[in-house]
Amino acid sequence: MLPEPASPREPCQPRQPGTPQLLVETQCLESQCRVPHGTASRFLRAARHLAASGRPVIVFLIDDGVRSAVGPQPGVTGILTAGGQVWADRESLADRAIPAAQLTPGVVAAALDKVAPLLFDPAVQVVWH
Amino acid sequence: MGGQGTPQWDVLLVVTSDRYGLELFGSVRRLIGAALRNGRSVQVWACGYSAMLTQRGNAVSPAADQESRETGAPAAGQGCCAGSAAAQIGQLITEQGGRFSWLACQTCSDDRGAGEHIAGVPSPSLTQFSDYVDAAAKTIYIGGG
Repeated sequence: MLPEPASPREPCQPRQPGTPQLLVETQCLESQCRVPHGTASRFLRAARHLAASGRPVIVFLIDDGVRSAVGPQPGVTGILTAGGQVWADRESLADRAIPAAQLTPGVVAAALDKVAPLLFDPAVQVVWH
Repeated sequence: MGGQGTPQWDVLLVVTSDRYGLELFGSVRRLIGAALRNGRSVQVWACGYSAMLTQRGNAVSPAADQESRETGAPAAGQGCCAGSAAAQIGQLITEQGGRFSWLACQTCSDDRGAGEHIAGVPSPSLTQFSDYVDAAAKTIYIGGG
């Protein structure tokens, strides 16, 4: 359950401890891309550190980012074991013919409409990579 | 624009990466749709190549373009260009009224030699950017490296 959104005009106020952070990864891991961007693994590592610090962290994988959660992926498993959640965009999975059964255990396939309430909530901090 | 009062827009989506103009406009379109279905008003600030998406020539048939110039109303996509990004954006402007707006960054447009944008798409200068941030309850930057 999300906390009530704070006043939308106070973006610089300290975040409530329970306010989730939504980290969006759009790029595949360096080892998976023909033209690797070189920073996806670092982004996932940052998510793991945030989750391990006790902050509610949700990682949303979209576009090529969903490739990061195919098969056993230590970077993704690390986020889950640190207490974070990892969601993969259902349509991006379908576009790449990746069945949900191939996802790293614990990763949830989610429709964008399910993510939208978090994504557009002024109280939720979003980092888009 | 802006000020310290109630935000005029729920979301300002700042599209900063050329990827979203060149190959991933579908993702931007999905985000806009998700925001609208979630009951949010959304304004898009298109930077980089995204600012080129709404050029008049990309959107409509010559007949619809001429009619739009004469009436000042946004032209819906027709003929060969009905599915183009510009046509989709024009359609959203028409259908969503005050809940959706697309801004083509003038600085990025000028840098790339863009022509005139479709009706209903303003081209604010980058110097006005902070006004649009102030006018939104939440700003999301998509893109980056």
